[in-house]
Amino acid sequence: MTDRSLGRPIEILLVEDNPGDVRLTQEALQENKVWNRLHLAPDGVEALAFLRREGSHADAPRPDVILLDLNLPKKDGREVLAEIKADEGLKTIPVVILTTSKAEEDIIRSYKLHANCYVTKPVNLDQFLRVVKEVENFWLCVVKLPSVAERAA
Amino acid sequence: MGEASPRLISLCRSFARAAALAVVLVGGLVLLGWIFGIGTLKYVAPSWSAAPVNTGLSLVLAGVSLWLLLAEGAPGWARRVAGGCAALVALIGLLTLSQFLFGWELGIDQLLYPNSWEAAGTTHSGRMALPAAVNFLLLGVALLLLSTRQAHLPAQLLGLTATLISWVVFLGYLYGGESFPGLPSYYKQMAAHASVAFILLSVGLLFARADRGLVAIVTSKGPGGVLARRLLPAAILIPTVVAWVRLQGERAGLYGTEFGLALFAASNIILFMALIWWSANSLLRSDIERRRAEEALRQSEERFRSFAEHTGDGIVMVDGAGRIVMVNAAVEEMFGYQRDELLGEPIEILVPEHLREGHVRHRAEYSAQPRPRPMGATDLVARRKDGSTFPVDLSLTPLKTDEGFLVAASVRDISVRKQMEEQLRLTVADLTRSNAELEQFAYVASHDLQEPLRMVSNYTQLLARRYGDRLDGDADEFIGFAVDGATRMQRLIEDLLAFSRVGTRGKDLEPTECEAVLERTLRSLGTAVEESGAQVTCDPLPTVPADDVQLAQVFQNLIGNAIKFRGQEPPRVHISAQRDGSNWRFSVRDNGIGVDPQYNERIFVIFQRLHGREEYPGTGIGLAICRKIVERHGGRIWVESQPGQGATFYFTIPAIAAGRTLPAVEERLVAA
Repeated sequence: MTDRSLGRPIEILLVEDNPGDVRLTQEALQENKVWNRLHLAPDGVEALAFLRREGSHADAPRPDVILLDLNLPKKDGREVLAEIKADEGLKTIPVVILTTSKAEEDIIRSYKLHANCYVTKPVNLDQFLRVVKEVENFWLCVVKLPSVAERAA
Repeated sequence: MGEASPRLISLCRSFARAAALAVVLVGGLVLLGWIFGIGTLKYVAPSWSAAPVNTGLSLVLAGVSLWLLLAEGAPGWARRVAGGCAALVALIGLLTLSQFLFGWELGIDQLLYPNSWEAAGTTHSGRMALPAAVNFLLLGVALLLLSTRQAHLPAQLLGLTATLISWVVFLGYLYGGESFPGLPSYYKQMAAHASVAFILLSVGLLFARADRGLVAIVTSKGPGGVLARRLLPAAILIPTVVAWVRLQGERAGLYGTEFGLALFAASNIILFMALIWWSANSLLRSDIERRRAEEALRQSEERFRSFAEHTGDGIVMVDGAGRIVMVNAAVEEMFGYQRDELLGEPIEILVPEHLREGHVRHRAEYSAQPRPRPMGATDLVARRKDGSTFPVDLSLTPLKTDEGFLVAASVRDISVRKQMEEQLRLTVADLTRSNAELEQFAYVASHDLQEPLRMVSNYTQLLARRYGDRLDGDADEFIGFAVDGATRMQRLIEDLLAFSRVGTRGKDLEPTECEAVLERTLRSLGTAVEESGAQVTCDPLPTVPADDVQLAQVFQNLIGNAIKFRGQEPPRVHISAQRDGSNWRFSVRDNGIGVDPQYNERIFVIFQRLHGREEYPGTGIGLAICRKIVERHGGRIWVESQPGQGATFYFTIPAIAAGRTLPAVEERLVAA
């Protein structure tokens, strides 16, 4: 399945420091039929640089969805989330929190910072794969998002 | 001399005032009698002597003088007028007396009313009688002395003499006899109403200063006064009346003079004996009562003294100047001083040197506004004789006594309590720290421990998924164990987290309807209940102060266990609650496999299991969480069961929320 309305691959930014999780996410996305391009930021600073096209990310595309882990080196996921949602140019990008934490305070805090949804990484592989796929499908196929022109404005 | 009774004094003054008015009245009537020639006013009965003009005038003057001297807070002029009147009376008396003594004729008797003599027609040249002249001299001088506000005793002696003279004249009229037959009548014939006026005047004069001189005993409180008031009137009246009766008998010819005298003496003796016996007896009784009262007072004082001396608290009494006036045995022991080392010393001797100045100031403030202060209001530091200090609690009681303002202080050595408080504070600090550490651990467990676990689990599964067809049956089994282990470990970590959060994430205890909580619990247990065919029943349940989420967790775990550990028959679970003193006791009864009593304690310990995982799944956290929740609510949980006969789990919840949090240990200021 391709994104017919866009006619281009879906751009996904994965902000994740654990290579194991990166690989698993890649596995899950590969199994999915959506034409996507996965970009990786191993920490919060790098993620914001990518989004703001700073330094080596001058040519970075604007992601269609961001998968954000909470516990990150340098700048943690909560700060990244807060900065994205405070940025007029970035705040319309859906941010999916993908984390191990089931702590109530993390969930509440994330939604208070305007996270678009909060997903806990399952221990079971099948469940993990299914969750990633469902997230992708939901945000990229089911949900209506603002058009490119509006987003760029 | 005892203290005077104010009531008697004012009574005496009232009498004296009335007497003064009566005397002025009599004198005035006599003068009116002369002016208008009314005989009755001059001599009362025609056969009696008339009162001359000068007598009437002098009576008026003397009465006015007495009246003025009696006025409360009389101004200076009133006293001077009183003195002037008195002097005039004395002068008239003296001049009249000198006419008698030296045979002079000064003309003073006809001065005011030259023809008075003829109108009277009886006595010599309108002159007053000799006793009247003497009386006026005596009373005039006495009133003069009173007006100077000194010499009360001489004044009263003079008044008493005048009383006696008047009394004799009065008795003469009463008994109707003639005295001193040798003397001419004008020497001795005083008018009857004048004699009464004299008696009133002189008694009034005695009573005018009833708290002084001779009369003081009569108005005094105490047995002396009682005796005087009882016996003196009797001493005057009894012989007077007895003598009159005797005279009447003699005149009636019942007996002769000698026998009459014997009767008179005997009657006096009997009457006085009776009177004295009666008085002495009542004095004796009041004396016994007084002694009893004194003894009772002494005993009560002894009780209080003994209590004050032996009570465990130190008692120090301090006077208005801050000097110690009393200490008890506990103070000696507490402070290491002997009693006589403390008495008379300033209270600051018991205060550490560096706080003494402040204490003096503090004490001054307290004296300005003394009020009782209970224990526990302030913590103070006290100083022993050897200079060491110790914490004390103090209560203060201001006392108003005859000796003046005193403050009684109860002192309690609270060293031990302080140590315990300090210990408690340290323990609380320890607990707070270890709680924080536990919470940190919980956080670590929830994130960092699960992360690698997921890696193990996910990649083992990925391995199986991708290379499954190239591995043999053993490899599948091994992968199965690895995934199962990782899954179980994750459950353990989650349970541990849940357990640690019972205390730290609990809500406040609020009135909670247990029936509603149970209903919710049964809904969420729905599938398990249905599948097992369980029958769950309950009695009416109360409303208790609880965290409803945690209470639901307790019900869920207990009912879940009852279903899980069922026997051959379909499970039957019954929930009920009973009031037990200040608690509600809940019970969850089942017909399951039961618990061997030797494991009654163990089943509530975290991760302790009695059965193999294949038999009954679970980590062994449920009952541990129940216990932690129930204890957080201030209750306890236990089981009563026999293997194969079902089990009943009991837990209690206080009907009124029990303060489980330790009281905040304040850093109290050490005040001086």
